[in-house]
Amino acid sequence: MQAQLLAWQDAFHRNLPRQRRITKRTLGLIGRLPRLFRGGARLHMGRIWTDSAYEKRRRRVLSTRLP
Amino acid sequence: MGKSDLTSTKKVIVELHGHVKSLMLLAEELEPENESYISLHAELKHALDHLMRAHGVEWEMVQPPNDVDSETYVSKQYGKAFSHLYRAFFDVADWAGIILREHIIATFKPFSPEAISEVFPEYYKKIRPQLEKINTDIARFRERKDIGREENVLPEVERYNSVLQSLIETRASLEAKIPSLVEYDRKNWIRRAGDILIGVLSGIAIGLIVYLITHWKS
Repeated sequence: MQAQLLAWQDAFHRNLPRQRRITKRTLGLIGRLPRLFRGGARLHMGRIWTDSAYEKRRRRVLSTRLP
Repeated sequence: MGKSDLTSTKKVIVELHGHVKSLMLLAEELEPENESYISLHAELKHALDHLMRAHGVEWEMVQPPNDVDSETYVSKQYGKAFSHLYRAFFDVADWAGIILREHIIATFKPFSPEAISEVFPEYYKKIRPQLEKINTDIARFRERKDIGREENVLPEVERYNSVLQSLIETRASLEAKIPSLVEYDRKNWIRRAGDILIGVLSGIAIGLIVYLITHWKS
């Protein structure tokens, strides 16, 4: 199907696309095109957790025995 | 769903959003690397979309799709917005819980369990069991696919907020105890060094006595 710009009423009841995983590639893209990522200062500067780094950190913290 | 039911759902959505926002502000402030966890923004984005869809039909700007009854459609959209916010809350609660736990581990790491229990006796009795429970509880809620009824959610959210609040207080009281822990470990080190020195000197003295006794006559 060819990409097309829908009238707002036609787009209204469609579901938004699922968010893709945040990967190192995403961080690279932010570094190259920061003007497209303006949701906040941290996002704009690429200071965000990738999904895999966050999961790794989460597993490490939860598996570390509390003193 | 009647109009009053929908009003209560809307109020729950507003309050839930406030809790999510409050935890996001806290997590961003405490995050040691100043990094943000934006995956949870997806839930907020979807919640906003469902709210807009509800408003559009409520204000008769658009018709619901496939001849669905307007009231049913609006109610369903509010329900979906609520579900996304509910998931956002547990995502951000998990993030904040991880940061706080990481901080507590790092703060206590240099000190012996003996020093901790001596200086901070409530840690092993009360705080540590609570710490062990909170992250596993949050993980269990995040994995749960079914979303509870709106009226059950706010007490649940309040309960998690109070546990997170106690973690924040623990973190603050830990920092206040650091000088006492350092002092305890220092005194303990001096005492242990003294014990070792006494042991060594006693050994030498006994050796000397034995030597003198065995070589007395010769």
